[in-house]
This record gives sequence, structure tokens and C-alpha cells, in this order.
Amino acid sequence: MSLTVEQLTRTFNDVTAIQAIDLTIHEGEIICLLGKSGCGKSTLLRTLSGLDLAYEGTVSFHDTPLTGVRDEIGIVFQEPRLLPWLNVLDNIRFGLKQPNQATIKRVDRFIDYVGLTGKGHLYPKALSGGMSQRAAIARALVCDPEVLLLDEPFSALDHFTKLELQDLLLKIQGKYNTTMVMVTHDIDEALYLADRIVVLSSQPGTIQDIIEIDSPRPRTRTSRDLQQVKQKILTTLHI
Amino acid sequence: MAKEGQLTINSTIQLTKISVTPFLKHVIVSSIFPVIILFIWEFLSRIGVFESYQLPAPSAVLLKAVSLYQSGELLPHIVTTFTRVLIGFGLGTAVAVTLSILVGFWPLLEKLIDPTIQALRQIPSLAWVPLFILWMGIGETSKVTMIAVGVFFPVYLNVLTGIVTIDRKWLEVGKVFGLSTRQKITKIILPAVFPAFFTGIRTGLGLGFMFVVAAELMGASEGLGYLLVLGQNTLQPDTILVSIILFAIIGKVTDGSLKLIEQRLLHWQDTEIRGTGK
Repeated sequence: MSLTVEQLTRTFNDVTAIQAIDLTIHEGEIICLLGKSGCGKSTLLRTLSGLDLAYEGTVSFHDTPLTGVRDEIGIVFQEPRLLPWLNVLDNIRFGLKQPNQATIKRVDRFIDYVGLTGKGHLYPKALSGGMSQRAAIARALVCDPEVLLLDEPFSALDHFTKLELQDLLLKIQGKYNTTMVMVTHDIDEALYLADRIVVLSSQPGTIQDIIEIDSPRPRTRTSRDLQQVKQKILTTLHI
Repeated sequence: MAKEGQLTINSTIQLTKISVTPFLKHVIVSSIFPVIILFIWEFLSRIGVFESYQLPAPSAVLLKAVSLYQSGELLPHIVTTFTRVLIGFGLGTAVAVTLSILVGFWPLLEKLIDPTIQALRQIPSLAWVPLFILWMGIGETSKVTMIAVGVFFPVYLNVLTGIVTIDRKWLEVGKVFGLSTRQKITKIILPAVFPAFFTGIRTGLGLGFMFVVAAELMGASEGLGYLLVLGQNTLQPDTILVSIILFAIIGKVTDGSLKLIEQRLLHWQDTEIRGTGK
């Protein structure tokens, strides 16, 4: 058990964003949090990251309560959030505690790995949306996180870039066995990536259904099985 | 080998192409308008439209500047004024940066002293002049203080605004990577505030020159502002014009240098550079 959530409730000024969430996330698993906008999926992710501690219930990481951000839990936001005054290389190095020979080599490796070879000297203003998000993913990965939280990371990207980066995530997961929790409102994305899809209902956000996808990877995006699951999710969401 | 040599030549040519030519072009293009004005002015003076005791011809002003320079008077005036501005600017900037950082990071202090500073800001800074002269006499101290006051407000205001309006998203990145308070300041807040700081010091420097004139008009025995008074009292409009034009040149050169440093340091900003199409 990597992350465990019990009876998690988060209210903002008397409005309940998420209510009584129970969820166990296993090591090496890819979980997608799916729901309509405003259903509290980002709120749930922020509590998992340790950035938001004003919740009721418990969030634990390896059976210890989460009391703040941890090196083992990386996060990629919806916007890349690269620091504009640092070039790609320094942005990726940003999270390293002690940059030494080994970690600097690691940075170089990850630049290649996410497909930014030769782009290390560029500043964020010169990057496309996809390149920026690749750099943001590399920045999270160089810290060697056990868990990677992703908050709608590809929602601002064009369709083709999005597909490429989804494959990048699967490549990373395959190589490092990184546990991933991803917020998305794209059902196809969830179907392509997830081991389990957590469907959240809106206002307040509660878990409506947890769907296990056991078809092996790489999956065919248009396969009939997945389309059937998609129909099921749409029905669950009353669309 | 021959090929390599050719490559070097090519790259040299390209280098000159991108650095020297546009600069020259810029200088030439921006000189067209003032040069035309100067010619018209000279022409109108020659045919007697302007009386020379009111508005002397550019050539007469230039001759005056040369004679002032040759007599050894001009340079000390320039140096004096420039030194006053520089010291006042440094002082005002230092105090403004310190205070804005304290106020920006310490909410209690903001509540305590920021309203007062904002109220003081509403006083036209020149209104301080009589008081400063009363307190410190008409020596260097009152002049430098006056310039420092003028520089203080724009720098304080811009840096403080820069600090309190830092994007929460960047601070959160710092939090995610577990930065200490010190690292948060050096790695995120300072670079983020840099653009506002430059806006502040460039405005401040402009005001510094305004205040040095005010200070020197009030009473000085040296400086470009003194030249203005001297020209007025001795009925020499050419002396006044020499001083005015020197202020324009010195102001433009110092602001241009700051702008250059700003562009070098803030090259990462995603702003359009006008006229380059970039």
C-alpha cells in the first residue's frame, strides 16, 4: 500500500468539495481520477500531495500520516510551472537537493528520456506547450519519486502531443514502476492509461464507482472492450 | 581546411550582421528627426526669426559648450551633478529595497508602516525642499537627501508590488520541492521581483535627475543646475541650453545603460521586443 485515504472530507467555506473518500493506492499502480469539472478531483490530488493539509479524515503514505510535501511524492501540475528565468536544464535540476556528479548525469539522462535532447539551454519562453510539460515531467522525475501525482497534465495540449505524452508516462511507469495518480476529464485517456479508474460524482465529490481495467498494455485506443467500459462510465456520470 | 576557413569567414560576417548593422541603423533612424529639427532651428535663427538673446542658434550653443569645456568649467559641473545623482540614487535605492523587502515579507510591518509611506508619497516631493534646506543647510547633504527621496518612492513601490504579487504557482513549486525559506527567497522571490526592481530604478533615476535640478536651482555653486541659474542671471540663453542639452544626453545615456543591463539580465522575459518582430 503506497497511499491510503480514509474518510477524507475537505470543505471550503462550508462547501463540501469531497466527502468521505476511501481509497487505497497500490505500488506501481496507475489510477485515474475521473469526473466532471468541479467534482473535487484536483482537491483530492492536492491532499495526496501534502500541499493541502486542511482536511478531515486520514491520508497516509506507507502507513504513516502525511504531514506535508515529501520527496517521494512528485507532482506535475496542469500548467508546466517552469520558472521562466531558468533554462530547461536548470528547471529540471531545480528540485535536486545536492547537485553532484551523479545527479547531473541523471538530469542529462532524463532530458533525453522525455525527448528534450539538445533543448537544455532553451528558456521556457521558447518552448511549446508539449515541450514545457515534458520538462515539468522530467523535473518531477529526477527527484526519483515513488509516486507521481498528475493534475490534468495534458489538458492544455493538442491531441497528438497528448497521445505522445501518454505513451511517455507508460514508458516511465514500465521502467521505474512509479505509482501514478492522474486527474483527468478525458475518458479515453483514463481508459488507455489506468489500472483502475475512480469515477467521482459532483458536489460533493464522492466515489461513485471504481472500475478495474485489466486489458494488457499496450492497449488499442479504439478496442471494443474499452469502448464498452467508456459507455458504462458515461452512464455512471449520467451523460 | 579551405572549407573550414570559409565557414569562419561566413560566421564572422553573420556576427557583424546581427550585432553592428541594426545598431547603426537604429542610431541613424532615430537621429533623423532631431537632425531635421536642428537644421530648421539653425536656419530660422540665421534668417533672424529667433532673436539670439532669446533663442541662440544650435551652432552658437555648440560654440558655447566648446568654450565652456576649453575653459575647464564644464567638466566639473557635469561631474558634480552626476556624482550627486549617483549618491542620492544609491542611497534612495538602498533604503527603498531594504524597506520594501521588510514590509513585503513581514505582514505586521506592512500594516504598521506601509500606510504611512503611502501617505508620505502623496506629498509632492519638491515640497520637502525648503524643510531639508532648513534642516541641513544648502550643502551636499540636503541635495543628496532630496534626490534620495525622489528615488525612494518609485523603487519602494515597484519592489513591494513585485514581492506581494508573486505568482502563487511559483511559490507552490518551491513548496513541492521542499525549499527552505532562504532558498525560496533566493531561488524564486528575488528573480521574480527583478523585473519590478528594474522598472523602479529606471523611474527612480529619471526622478533623481529632476530632483538634482531642483536642488541645484535652490542654491549651488557648481553643477549643471547652477549653470541654468548662471545663464538666467547673466542673460545667456546659450549657457542654459548647454545645460539642458547635457541633461538630455546624460539622462539618455544612463537610462540606456540601465536598459541594456535590464535586457541582459531579464532576457528570459516573454515580452515582445518592439520593432524586431520577435
